[in-house]
Amino acid sequence: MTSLTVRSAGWRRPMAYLGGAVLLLGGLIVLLPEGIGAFPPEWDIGFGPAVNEVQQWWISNRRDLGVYLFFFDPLSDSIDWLLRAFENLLMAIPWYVHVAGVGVVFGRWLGRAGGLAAGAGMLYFVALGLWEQSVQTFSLMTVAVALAVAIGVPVGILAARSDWVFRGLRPVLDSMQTLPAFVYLIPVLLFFGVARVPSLIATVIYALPPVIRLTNLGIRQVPTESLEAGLMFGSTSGQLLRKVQLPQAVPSILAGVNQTIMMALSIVVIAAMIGAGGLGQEVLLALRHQEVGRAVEAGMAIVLMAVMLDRFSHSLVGQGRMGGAHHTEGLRYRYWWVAGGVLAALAIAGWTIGWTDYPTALQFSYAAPIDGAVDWARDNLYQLGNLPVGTGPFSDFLTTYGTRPMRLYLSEEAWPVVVLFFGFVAWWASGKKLLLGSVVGTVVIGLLGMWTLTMDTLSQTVVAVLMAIVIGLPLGVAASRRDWLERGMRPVLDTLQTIPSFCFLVPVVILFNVGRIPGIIASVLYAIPPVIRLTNLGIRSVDSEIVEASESFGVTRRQKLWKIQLPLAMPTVLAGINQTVMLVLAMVVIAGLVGGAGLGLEAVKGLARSDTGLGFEAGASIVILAMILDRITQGWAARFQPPSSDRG
Amino acid sequence: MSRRSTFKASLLLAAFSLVLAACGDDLGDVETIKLAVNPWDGSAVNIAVAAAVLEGEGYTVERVEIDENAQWAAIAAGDLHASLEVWPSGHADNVASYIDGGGGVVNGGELGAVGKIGWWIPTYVVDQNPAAGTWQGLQDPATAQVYATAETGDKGQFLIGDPSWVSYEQDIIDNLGLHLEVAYAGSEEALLAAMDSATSRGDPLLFYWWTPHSAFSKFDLTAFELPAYSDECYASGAVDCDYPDDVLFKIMWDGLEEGAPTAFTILSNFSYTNEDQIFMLGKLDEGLSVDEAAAAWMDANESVWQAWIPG
Amino acid sequence: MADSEEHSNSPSDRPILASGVWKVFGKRVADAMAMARDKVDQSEILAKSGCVVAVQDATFEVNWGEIFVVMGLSGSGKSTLIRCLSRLVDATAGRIVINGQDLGEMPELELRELRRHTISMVFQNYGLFPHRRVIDNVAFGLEVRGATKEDRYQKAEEMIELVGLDGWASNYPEQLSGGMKQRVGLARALAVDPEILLFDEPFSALDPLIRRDMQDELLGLQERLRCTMVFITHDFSEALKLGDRIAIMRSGAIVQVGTPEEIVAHPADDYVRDFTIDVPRHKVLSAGTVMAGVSPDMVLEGEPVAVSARLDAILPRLLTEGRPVPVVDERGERCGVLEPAVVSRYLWRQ
Repeated sequence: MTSLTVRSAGWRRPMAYLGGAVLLLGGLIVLLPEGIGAFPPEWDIGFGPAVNEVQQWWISNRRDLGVYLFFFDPLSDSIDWLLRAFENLLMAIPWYVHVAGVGVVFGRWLGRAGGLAAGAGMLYFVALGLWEQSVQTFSLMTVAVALAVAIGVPVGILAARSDWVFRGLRPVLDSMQTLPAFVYLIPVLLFFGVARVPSLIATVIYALPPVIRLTNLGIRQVPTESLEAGLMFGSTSGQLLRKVQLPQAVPSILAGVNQTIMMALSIVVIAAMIGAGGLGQEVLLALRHQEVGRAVEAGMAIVLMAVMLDRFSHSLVGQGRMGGAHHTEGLRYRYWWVAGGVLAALAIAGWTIGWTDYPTALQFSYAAPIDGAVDWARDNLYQLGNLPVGTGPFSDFLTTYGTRPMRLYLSEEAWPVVVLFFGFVAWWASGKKLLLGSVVGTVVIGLLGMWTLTMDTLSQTVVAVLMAIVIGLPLGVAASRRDWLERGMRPVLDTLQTIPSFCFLVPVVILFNVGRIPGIIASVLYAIPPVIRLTNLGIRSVDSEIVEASESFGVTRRQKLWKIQLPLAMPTVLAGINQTVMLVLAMVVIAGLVGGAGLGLEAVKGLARSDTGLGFEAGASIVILAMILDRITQGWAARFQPPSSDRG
Repeated sequence: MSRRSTFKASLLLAAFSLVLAACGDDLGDVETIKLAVNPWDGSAVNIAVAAAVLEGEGYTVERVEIDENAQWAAIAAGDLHASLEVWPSGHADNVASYIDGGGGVVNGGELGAVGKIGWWIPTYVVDQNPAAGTWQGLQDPATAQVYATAETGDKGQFLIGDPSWVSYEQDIIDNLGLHLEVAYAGSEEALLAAMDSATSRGDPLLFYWWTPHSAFSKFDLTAFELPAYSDECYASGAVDCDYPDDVLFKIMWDGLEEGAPTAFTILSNFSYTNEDQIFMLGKLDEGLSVDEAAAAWMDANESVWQAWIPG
Repeated sequence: MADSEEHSNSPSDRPILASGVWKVFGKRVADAMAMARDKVDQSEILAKSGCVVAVQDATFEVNWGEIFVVMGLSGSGKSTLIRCLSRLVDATAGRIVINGQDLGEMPELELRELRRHTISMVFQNYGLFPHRRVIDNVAFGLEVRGATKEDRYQKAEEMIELVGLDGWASNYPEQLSGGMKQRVGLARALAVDPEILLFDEPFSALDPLIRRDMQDELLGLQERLRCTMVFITHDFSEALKLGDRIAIMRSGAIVQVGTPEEIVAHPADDYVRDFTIDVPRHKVLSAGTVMAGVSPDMVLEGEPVAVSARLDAILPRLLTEGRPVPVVDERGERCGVLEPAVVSRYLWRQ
């Protein structure tokens, strides 16, 4: 019995449940009276209009409100001042000093090759004529990250000290990460004026959660004994925090800062829609003129910035851990003094002879070949001769047999069936609590008046996730068998995740026609890395002893994969799928920009028409959908976890 | 390039006060004029010209990229001072609440250029099938089928771009009984990409577009024939005719006249024709930057913009 | 046997007095306590009340300057008990008196002072601060109580020397071996000149050889310092080696308290007896415990041995001579006799 349950916990029982679900739903469809279709629109509780009324009141009373005069305006002004001061400082320093300076810092921490690579990376910004934009983006991001840390660390500390605060905070953080930034761009504009301050605030809102989460985690992870030791020597709670908890949480906090930086960089383009300027603006401008090459150049600058900041913050983590044990103090400082001196001299020299601009003759561009490639793809890949092969027919196929029938079924089928189906899957994946949560959640979506649109988005999400799995899983398996493939894929996957999706909006529309498919393709490109990565990781981290044991029984490669490696890697693979689902949902809004319809287009409408209420309705639906799907995939992953032995 | 001026001007706070002291009082208390740049090229060249003129008078100009709807609240609050190309057809609500309702925005007069929204198709479509270029033709399901896609099934697809664009498409289609389904490309960029893709293969495409726009220099487009515009048709509430001409106008912060009288006068006088704007849009397509295009037009038309400057 | 001069061991002046101490984790505390009193099994209590009774009704006292060992298997509640003694864990019921002060009623401030000056603790997994150098770890207690940098570094240097880590002061804990880490833990605890030292299985994470060294070193230190120590272990031989007295715990309750010899010679029940099976008895038992009574007129030949002499010193003689050996007390008067037959019964537990 026990051996049976161990296996069936992962594989067989779900199949039985699924069979039961099909029967149940079949019965419901037969039993339910005719005429129950999509969620009744008259049940819309009118959340959106209420939000708009508040916004309207806010706009008309804005100038008389004390909070503006004494809070938002001064806050906005001081952030603006800080931002400009920082930007001007960076711009005042000649470009080659930046290049050399970054090289020196990276060289010290990551060795000569690291230094040279970093210097070359800096040169990219200058040589492609993206220097000012890069400085702008960098300044905005730096100030945003600094603000996020200034807010996030104290909040994280509070959360670590009180379970109550922590529990209250969790849904807020989840929402902050899943609510599309489009939704709060307009309200942020209302509070903080225009241009860079609101885009900075939007960036902070989006990028804040990791700092809070990882500060909380870092403090909670301080070993009990360490805490007890602190207490046993009679530390006050302040001393305990300063001398014991925070220092040990530093690596975790820095990891949070690293994630925050990455997230801040991932909304550079969206922030540019409300005036952030910088590289994001460059991408948008290039897109407006259909200059894919230029957009990619700017997009790659963002990738490069992300990579460099990632390496930088990782080595910060390393430095934080090791302290200065390896170098004698004098030597450590001498390096920086000498380097600083030389750089200052270079800067002064540049100012004196007035040579601070990058020579235009040395500028460089690779936009033309990319534009050429896009044209080539348009002319050659859309359809091969008269054969039904090519991106165009593929798009039609996916529409006709994938998204369209699923959307029509989901949105026209009796809504209680869909609610119950969700509830059932939730119950199967995780239990009663989630069943309740998902039933309430789906009904709330209906009450928000977003039922049909949500079903539209859901069908797109399902198709995109399935595509990501079908492509990503085999790639992950292949990568787990060949080191060279894994190594070769890594930079590609990193780039796919960091390059702004906006860069490939034009090509996907050109190749896959306006509609739901280009959005899905863009989502798959953006969301596929976790599946590949975690499949690879899951298989590679299967205990080698288990693999050897199976080999001693003479399994074939195929048997080894299906009977040993994949089942054991399943929890990791599912964690990857979970991430993919979340990333696809994050792309929903972007998909709205290329004809994706559904909630994405609705959120775009909310922004474009300043209809914040509509934006919030769509955004809330996305958040609910994301949370349900997240919990379901997490619960599913947990089911595949081998039963753990009781702790002694 | 557009950032250059911003940067130079805002080097140090101290420099601000120096500029203020040097420039004298006729400029007013507001020495930095913040202009809204909406996400289309016409808006960008207007602002480039205005910025050059204002800077010539000693003002510092800051350009802020902002959505055409979002700009209203910002201008009302004085965070932005002016926007120079507002399309009336899309902003009736905003005009009502911000201008007529005394919401902090004033009408800054006409831009001079006149826009026109309409339905467009690539010229080769009418060449092959003249019926596909008229509304009567699309009452026939078989003709409308020309524009069908996998998404729209047996109906034809009518493509519109950004959801913020003013749109009577659904009304027109319903009231004229056209076999069309409206699809959103989601953005101007996506619609342009769709045009690029379709025209490269000679595929039919029916879409929403407007003039003046630089796309006309890239694609050979023909206006789709809709029943002519009439005031009655729009007043009836059941729209079944073409769009009206859009007399573009300017909007300003209601505190600008007092805060920066000279700038207010310049911006109020600011006016030129479609040809002027198209001249600059053409320069953009030749690869010039917005500021270079503006400079090229100003060199050739000094008398026009000199007339905007008071006394 | 370890009375120091300035303290008497009258009940009111013991360093640690625990009476009727309970610790129950969970919500339905009263139910759980009642069940535990009725000798209900731990797992059943957990199933019925959702509570874990970690310590039940522990009563004992610790004398000045002795090493008091609490020995038990994992899960027997010994770690919880030692945490009650420092109020890292608040006892559910009962009274703990430290230096005459009731620990349970002590206000926050006084508790902090007590920890700063009187009690110190050494942890199983060292509890070192990974972000601080060895010297800053050792100086931590002094730092939080506000000593100047100069003072605390001086004291810390002394302590580092005392535990034999000279030259490692500016290393980080992760650069040290396990044994060295625990020396740091010890130095850190000693640096505040505590009167009472609590040890929570300090050597269980170490290799056997290093463990033996550390035990010897601890005994050596105790010779010089004469603190009161409470030492937790799950290793019975370690308990025998270090303990002046040993308390044996099982399922949260104290089963027996006594000197190593008392426990080996007279285990309270089978549970305790099980531990003593593998003990090399001749190293634990003394002549006084195994001697038989003697009548004054009995004639005994040979050199007498002292009551306190360990059997391992006498055994060779007993075996080679094969005849009874007289035992004399501290004053040199004959008080008993070692009969080979009786001795062998103690040694092989017949």
